[in-house]
Amino acid sequence: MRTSSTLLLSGIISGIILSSCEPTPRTAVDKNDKEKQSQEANIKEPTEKEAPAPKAEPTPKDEPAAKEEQAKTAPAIKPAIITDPSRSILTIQVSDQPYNRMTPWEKGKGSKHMLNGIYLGDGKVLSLGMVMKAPSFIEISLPDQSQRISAKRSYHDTELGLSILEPIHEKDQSIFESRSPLSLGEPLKLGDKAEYWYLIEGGIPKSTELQVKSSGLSSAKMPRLHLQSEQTLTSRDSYGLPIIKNGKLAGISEGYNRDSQSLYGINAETIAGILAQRSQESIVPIIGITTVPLDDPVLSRYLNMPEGSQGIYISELTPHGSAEQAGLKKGDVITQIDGMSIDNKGLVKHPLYGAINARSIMRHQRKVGDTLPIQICRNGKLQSIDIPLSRDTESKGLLARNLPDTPPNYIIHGGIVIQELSLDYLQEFKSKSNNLPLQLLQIEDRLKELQAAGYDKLCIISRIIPTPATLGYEKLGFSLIEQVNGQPARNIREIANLLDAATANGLTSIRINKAPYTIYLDRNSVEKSNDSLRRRGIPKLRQLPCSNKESNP
Amino acid sequence: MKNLVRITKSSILLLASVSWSTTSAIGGEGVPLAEQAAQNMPTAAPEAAPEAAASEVEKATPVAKSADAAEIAKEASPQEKPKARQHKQIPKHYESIVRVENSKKKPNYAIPWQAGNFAQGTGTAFLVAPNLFMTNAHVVANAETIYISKYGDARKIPAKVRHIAHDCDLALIEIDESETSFVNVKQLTISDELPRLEEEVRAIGYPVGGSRLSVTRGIVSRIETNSYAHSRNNEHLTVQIDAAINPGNSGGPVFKGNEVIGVAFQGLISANSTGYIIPAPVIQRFLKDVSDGHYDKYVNIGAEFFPIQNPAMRKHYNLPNNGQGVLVGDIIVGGSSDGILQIGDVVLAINGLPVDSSAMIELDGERVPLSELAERSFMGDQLQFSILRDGKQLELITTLRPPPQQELTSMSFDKMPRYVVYGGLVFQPLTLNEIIAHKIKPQSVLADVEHFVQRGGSKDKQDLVILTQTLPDEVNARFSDYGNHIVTKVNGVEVSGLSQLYQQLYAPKDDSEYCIIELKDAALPLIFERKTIEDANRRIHTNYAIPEHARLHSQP
Repeated sequence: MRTSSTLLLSGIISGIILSSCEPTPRTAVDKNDKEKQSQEANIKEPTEKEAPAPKAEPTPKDEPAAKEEQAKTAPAIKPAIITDPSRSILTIQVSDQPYNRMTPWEKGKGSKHMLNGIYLGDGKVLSLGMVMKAPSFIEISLPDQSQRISAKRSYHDTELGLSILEPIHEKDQSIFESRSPLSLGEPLKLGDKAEYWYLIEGGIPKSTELQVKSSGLSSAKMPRLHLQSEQTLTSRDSYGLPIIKNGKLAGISEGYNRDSQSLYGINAETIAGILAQRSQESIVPIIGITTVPLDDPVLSRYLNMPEGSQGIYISELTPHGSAEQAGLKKGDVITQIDGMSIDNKGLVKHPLYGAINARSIMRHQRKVGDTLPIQICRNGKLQSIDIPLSRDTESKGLLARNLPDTPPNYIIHGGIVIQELSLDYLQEFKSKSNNLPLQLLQIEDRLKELQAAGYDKLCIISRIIPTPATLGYEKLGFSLIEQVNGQPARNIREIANLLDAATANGLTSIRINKAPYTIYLDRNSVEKSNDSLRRRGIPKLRQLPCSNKESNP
Repeated sequence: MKNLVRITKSSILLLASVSWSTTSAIGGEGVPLAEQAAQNMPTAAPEAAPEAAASEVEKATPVAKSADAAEIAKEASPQEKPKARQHKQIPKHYESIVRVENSKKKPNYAIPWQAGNFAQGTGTAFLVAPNLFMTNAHVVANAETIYISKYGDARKIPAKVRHIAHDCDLALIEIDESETSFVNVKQLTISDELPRLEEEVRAIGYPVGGSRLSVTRGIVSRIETNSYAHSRNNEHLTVQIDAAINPGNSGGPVFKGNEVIGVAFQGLISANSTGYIIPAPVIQRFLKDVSDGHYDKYVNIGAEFFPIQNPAMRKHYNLPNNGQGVLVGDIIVGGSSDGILQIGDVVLAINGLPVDSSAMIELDGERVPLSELAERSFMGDQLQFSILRDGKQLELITTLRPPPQQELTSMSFDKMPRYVVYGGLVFQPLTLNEIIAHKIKPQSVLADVEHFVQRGGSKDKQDLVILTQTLPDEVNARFSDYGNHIVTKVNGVEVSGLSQLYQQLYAPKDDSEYCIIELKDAALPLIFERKTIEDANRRIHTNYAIPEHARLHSQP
């Protein structure tokens, strides 16, 4: 072997090791962390493959003159308020620790966050979901820290960006005695005025008048409000605080952009979504399309678009996505969503949010189980289609979904680490190293073929831990498992069963998509290596779907 | 396993070269040592340059007088001191070592319709046969005119390339038969041997820092297979020495005693006292290859071998635990072993030499990777494989040839880039030159290149065609900002090469209103209205000063 190739290989491996040690990127909610807030908006949506949305974070130019601003420095606390909204505010501390995708048997480096929650009555606290993806401990406290209780998530929706928390112990309900609950009001729309409530040093409540100036997209690419204040807000504590209209909860703050001086808010209708939630599954559908705004008149003519019609061109459909299941095809142009026309920039005019990304509205407008009426142009003809909304890509797609709070499925077989391939895994790989291995690139090109071949959830050899059983196989990481003992290996459970099955000569063969294409393992040697891996500190050699108990051959 | 790795990992090595090319300060990468005298020299410059050089020689003469050539020799090689003094003349071999000056035209793969960058370079060459000089390929690559000048002689004698081997960075240049300056000059003999570590060597040439001959001395520091930077995708044996080797030394001989043991060719930017020389075995192979009047390039086995070290794997193949035998892990389609060896064959011996389980053989008393057999072979040579297939022992013969599609994964020289411009879209064949010129992200084309080069993709395609840039014009102004995408279809027809693409674009067989160009991994097809395209092409070619809308053949 030449040095260069070895070097390259070790480069890849060290890249992985590095990435597995890196802390999770999100640490934005530390108290003094002003800079990172704007980064929040740029975090990629993890579950749905879509073309990037337009950056819709305009810097306001029509701000009132400085003179006016001076005149209004006093906070506008309105006497009309019946209850004091500041008495709904709670402090929340959470340590968030998702599972490590590269070493699935352990959790990654945790991060601690401090934010606020809003008491909604009935023992429920509303807070932001973005730092509660995989909480290992949550604590709710009164703003003066006079009482602290342990809490858990009762509902959580990463895509909505919200969590509902409740005390773990019944006796801790007493923490809410000094709180007054807020009830949910009407959603805010462009131009609406509202109050933003927060606490300053010493727990003194303050409020500021805000106006909805524009809208944009949250980190999960869902619509959110951009609110402007006439006075400068400190960016401190801009997470999880109430936005009030007519004494009722109209939104929850989700960060503050110092440059544009705008506060980000999740609207009341989204909050209503999580309050109506009855299971841990997200209510946000996966449409499963990649689209491009149709901005080229030549292309519009080529597609025979009727005069004046504009829309978004579907360039790719995810298998089992809502769009594919509704019969949408590549080359269709979506012209209307729920009666709202799409313009040549791919935006719709939404009654609440104004001009906003059409694809985000497709996910926002209705929830899983509903149907979404749209209009498309196919072969020059406009037609109406109702899309039944689902998240079927998660259960039916070839790539597994990784939930940060559930352990990823894996098998360690004599040192060979087998994992379900997930979109998150690929994205993490792409973002952290420029060296997505050829074999993984090839899998991406082969998804359709593999689906047709009956694969259910693709599994890869993600790494090889050197043991006597894997001697000579050290460089076979990142290869797709195609067969075990000559049988198709369609999902990780099937692989586990095939690996456990006895063979005549005590050898197990695994077919992969990388030279030498077939490798062999000796059952006795695998068992010995498994024992030694356990002694070396890997707590669990298998994590299989719908089962938490370890079953070893 | 050098050749295998090189071929099978060629795409990966290619990556490495690409990334290193931009940051050559990263350790490990060699740099060719021809001195680039001037970049972008105007055309008139080559005429002016010789004058300047000549006057410099005059200016330098007084200084040089005190440090007579004999004095230089005295310093450089003490063992020759008595002789030099006695005859009061320069060592005989200095006359055999000439300065090479050239004017180059480096093709511009980023703006392929342009003539290219004019530059001048210098290097060194040495006499190996009557009127025939050896130098580095990179000294004379892309050269339009070559002049050599003899030690102590201001005349510039025109020379031309007889053989050039980009894969091992060697070339032979010749001067006119009627030229008599070198009739009585000693032809340098090239050793058959590799030097040993710590042996003393001298490098002689015309590096920067003066216009006269320079001699540096050092020892052999390391002998190993290393990459040859010129083609960016070849690895052969190199000898590392600690004698100063500087730009301009390239192509110069390196002596041990009176024998040439290597040709100086590259150095490291990031390290001191590391000069690399092409050792005698590589030079001898080159000379033997061209002895039939034609350079056939290096050959390889065209298979990847996988060690059979795992006991379970040995058990499956019924191999005793004797450390022998290696598995054929992969076969390059169109390579030397295609159709002969199969994946899953166990190679026990090649040419009767036992192969161990880590793909090593014993050759001339040394353990070397089995690819060394190909390294020492020539096109058309045969290797006899003793293999096990399905438990039966077979004897198979492979005839060696260069790896397929090598030009795609190595740098090309002395060629003008091929291209097609249509509606402001610039299409080029995907080769290493284009990847480097356009800074194409290797990951984005890796799977396609691998398929084309190693999996038989080139059987029904001449080129992979890539959209390299868009020249803004109203006809393409509404196209999204496209990166470097491979072109898959034009008007519904699969693209099989640049010439075919040209036909599809400029001489379509249908009379559709539109021209439809489909790109791999692009969100939208690119659509032109044919009625507007002719005007647009004319306008774009005027605005962007494009003389021809295509160059389909890369004539020099």
